[in-house]
Amino acid sequence: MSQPDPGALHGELFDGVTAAALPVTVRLSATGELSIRSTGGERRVALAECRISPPLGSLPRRIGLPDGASIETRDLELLAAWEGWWGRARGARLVHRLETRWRYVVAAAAVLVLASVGAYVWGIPLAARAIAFGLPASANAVIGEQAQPTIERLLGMRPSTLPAERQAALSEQFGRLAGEMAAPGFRYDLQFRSAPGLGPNAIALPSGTILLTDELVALAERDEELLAVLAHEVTHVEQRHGVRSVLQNSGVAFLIGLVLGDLTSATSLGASLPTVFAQTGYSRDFEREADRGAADFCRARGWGTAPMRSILEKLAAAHPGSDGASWISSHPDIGERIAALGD
Amino acid sequence: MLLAPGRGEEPSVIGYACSGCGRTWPENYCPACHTTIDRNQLPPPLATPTPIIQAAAGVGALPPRELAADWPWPSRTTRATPGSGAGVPFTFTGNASEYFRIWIVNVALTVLTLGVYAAWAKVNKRRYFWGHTQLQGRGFEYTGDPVAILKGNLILGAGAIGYYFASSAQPLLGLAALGAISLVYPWLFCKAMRFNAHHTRHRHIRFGFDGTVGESYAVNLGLLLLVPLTLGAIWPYLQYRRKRYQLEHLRYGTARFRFNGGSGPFYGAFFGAVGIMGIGVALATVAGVALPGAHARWVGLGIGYLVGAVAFVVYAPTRVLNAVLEHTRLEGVASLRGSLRVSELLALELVNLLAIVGTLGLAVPWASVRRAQYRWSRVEATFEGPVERVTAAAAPDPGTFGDVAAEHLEIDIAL
Repeated sequence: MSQPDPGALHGELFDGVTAAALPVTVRLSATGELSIRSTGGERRVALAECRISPPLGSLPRRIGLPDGASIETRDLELLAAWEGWWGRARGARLVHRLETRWRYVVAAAAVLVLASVGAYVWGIPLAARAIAFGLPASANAVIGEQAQPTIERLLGMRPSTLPAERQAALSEQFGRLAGEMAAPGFRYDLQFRSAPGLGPNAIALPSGTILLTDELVALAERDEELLAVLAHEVTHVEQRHGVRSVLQNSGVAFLIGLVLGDLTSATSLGASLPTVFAQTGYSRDFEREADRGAADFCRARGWGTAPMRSILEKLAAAHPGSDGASWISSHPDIGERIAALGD
Repeated sequence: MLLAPGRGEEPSVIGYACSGCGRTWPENYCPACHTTIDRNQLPPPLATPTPIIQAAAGVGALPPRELAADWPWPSRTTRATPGSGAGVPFTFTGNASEYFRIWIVNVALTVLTLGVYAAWAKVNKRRYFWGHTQLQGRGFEYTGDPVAILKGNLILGAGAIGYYFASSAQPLLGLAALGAISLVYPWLFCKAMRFNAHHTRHRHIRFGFDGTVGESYAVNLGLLLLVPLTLGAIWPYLQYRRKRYQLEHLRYGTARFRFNGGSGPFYGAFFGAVGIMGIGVALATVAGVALPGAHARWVGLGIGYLVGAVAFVVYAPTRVLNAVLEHTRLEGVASLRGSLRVSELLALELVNLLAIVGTLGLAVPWASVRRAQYRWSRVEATFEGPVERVTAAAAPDPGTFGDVAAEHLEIDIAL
C-alpha cells in the first residue's frame, strides 16, 4: 500500500487524568501524522510517536499518545491497515495472523499434539536418561538415602526373623550377583526385613540398599528365583530408575501444566488425572526394563528365564486381585510380564 | 489536560442511532452490536430535549420516549439520583471460537519453546479475559510486561528444581524451605497486590493498592500462627481479614474502595463446606465397604475427591464472593452486587469437566469462556455518581517482582 486508507477511525479519547471518555475521529495523513478531531478541537500527533497495543482477537485497541492519553477504538481493520502502511509491529502481527486464520490454528493443534506425544514417549525419557547417567553414581544414591527409615515405617517393616545362616548364604550369593551385574559406583547392601503387611516383595533404594522380605524368601522354592528377583532390583539401581523416575514425573507434570495452563477451580482436577496416568505409565516402563535386566542375568547364568517366570507366577497367586485395571497401577500386568520374558 | 471534556461542552445531539440495530445510545458506541457509531451519520439535532435529561434535572412533565430498552448508561448530569439506578451488569464479550484460536496458538508455541513463550501466553490470556470483561461497554486493560513474567518464571523454575532435589535428598531441607517461604509470603502478597492493581486499567485510569507490608504480615503470618492454637477455628476469620486487607486499600484512581462486611459469611461458607465434605466422606466410606473388589477403593476415592472439590472449590468461594461483593463499594462512584448461584455454577463446572475430559483438553478454552460469561453476568454495579469524575492518582510503578508473586502464588483481586 503506497498511501494510507483515507477513511476515518472512530474511537474514544481517554486523557488518563479523569475517567471521562470523549468521542473522537482520527485521520492519518500521507506524512504519517494523526489528526484527532472532537468537539473540543483538533490535535495533531505523529503516528511514529504513538504506542499502539498489539492486536488480540476482536479486542479494542489503544493508540497511546505521547502525553499519556490514549484513544480506544474498535475500527480494527483500519488501524491494521495504517500499521501495515507504516510498517510497524511485525512480530505481534505475525502471531495475530496465526490466531485469526483457521488453517494455522489446525496446524498449531497438530503441532501441539505431535510435540506433546513426542515429548511424552521420547523427549522426556531420553532427557531424563541423559541427566541421570550424566550425574555421578553418588548423586543418584543421595536421592532416597535419607528416606529409608520413613519407607520402612510406612511399609510396616520389622527386623527379619530369618535364621542367620540363611541370611549369610543369600548375602554371599547376592555379593556374587552384584559383582557380575553391577558397574562400580554403587554400594550394594542386601538387608532382610519382615513385612507382614506388605507380603512377599523386594524394594531397591537408589543408593544400592535392597530390602528383601521374609515372606518372599518363604514363597520361593529355589534360590535361583530369589536371585532373579534380586537381579530385577539391581537393574533398578544400575539403570538409575530412581532419578529418572523423579525427572520424568516432574517433566510430564510440567508438560501437562504447560498445556492446561493455570486453571483454577474444578477444571484443575482434570489436570491431575492425566498426570497420574502418565506417571504410572512411566513406572510400568521401568518395571519392564528391570524385568529385562533380570532375564539377561538368568540367561547369563544358564538358567533361562524359568526362575523369573515361576516366582512371578507365585507372586500372582499370593496377591489375588493384583491383575486389576493395569492402566492405573505402577506395575504391568503379571501375565504380560511373564509372557514378555520369553524362554 | 488536553481536550477537556467539560460539562459545558456537551454536543447538542444527545442520542446516536446505531445503523446495525437501530437503537439509540447516549454515546457513539453501540454495546449491543459492539461497534462504534459513525458520528458523520448522525441524525440532525433533536428539536426537544429528551425526557431522560429532564427527568434527572427534576422536570418530569413529558412522558418518557422509547429509547433502547436495556439502557445501561447512567445519567449524564452531574447529580445522579441516588438509589434510582438499576444495577448495571458486567458483561463478558469474549467468545469461545475466537479464544480457542488464541489459546491453541499460545499452547503450541509454549510447548515448542519449552515454556519460554508461557509468559506471553499468560499476558495474552489476561488481556483477552480482562479486555472482554466490560462495564458500560468499556473493558479492563492488563498492562503487565511479558518479559517480567518470563524472568519470574525462570527464577521460580530454578528454585522449584532446587527445592525438589534438595528435599528428595534431605527431607528436612524441604521443611526448612517451606518455612522460609511462609516467612516471605506476606511480603510477596503485598507486592503482588500492588503490582496487579497498578497494571489494571479501566478507562485508562489505573487501579492502585496502598496496603502496607506490616499489615500483610499481621494478617497473613500473625493470624496464621493462631490457626493451630484454635484448632483451625480462626481460619475463616483469617480469610475475612485477608479479603478486607485487599479491598480496603484498593483504589481506582483516587476513588477508594470500601469493604464493610463482617466475617459471618466466611464462617458460614467454611462450615457449610466442611458439612458437605462430611457427606462426601460418608459416601466414600459406604462405597468402599459396599462395593466389592479393588475398584471400590477407586470409586470411593473418586467420590470423596469430587465432593471435596465441590465443597471447597465451588460452594465456599461462591458464597464468599457474593457476600464480599454485597459489601464492597467504590466510594462516591458505585456499589457492587454478586448473585452467583452454587447450583448453576456446579452444573456449569460439571459440564466443563466432562467436556474437557471428553475432548482430551481441547475444550479448555470453551470452558474458560463459559465460566467467565456466567460469572460476570452475575456481577453488577449500581452507580451512585458519575464514573467520569474519577481522577488518576500519581503513583510510581511498583516494579516487576510483584508479578512473579502474583503469577505463581495465584494472588489476585479475585473480583
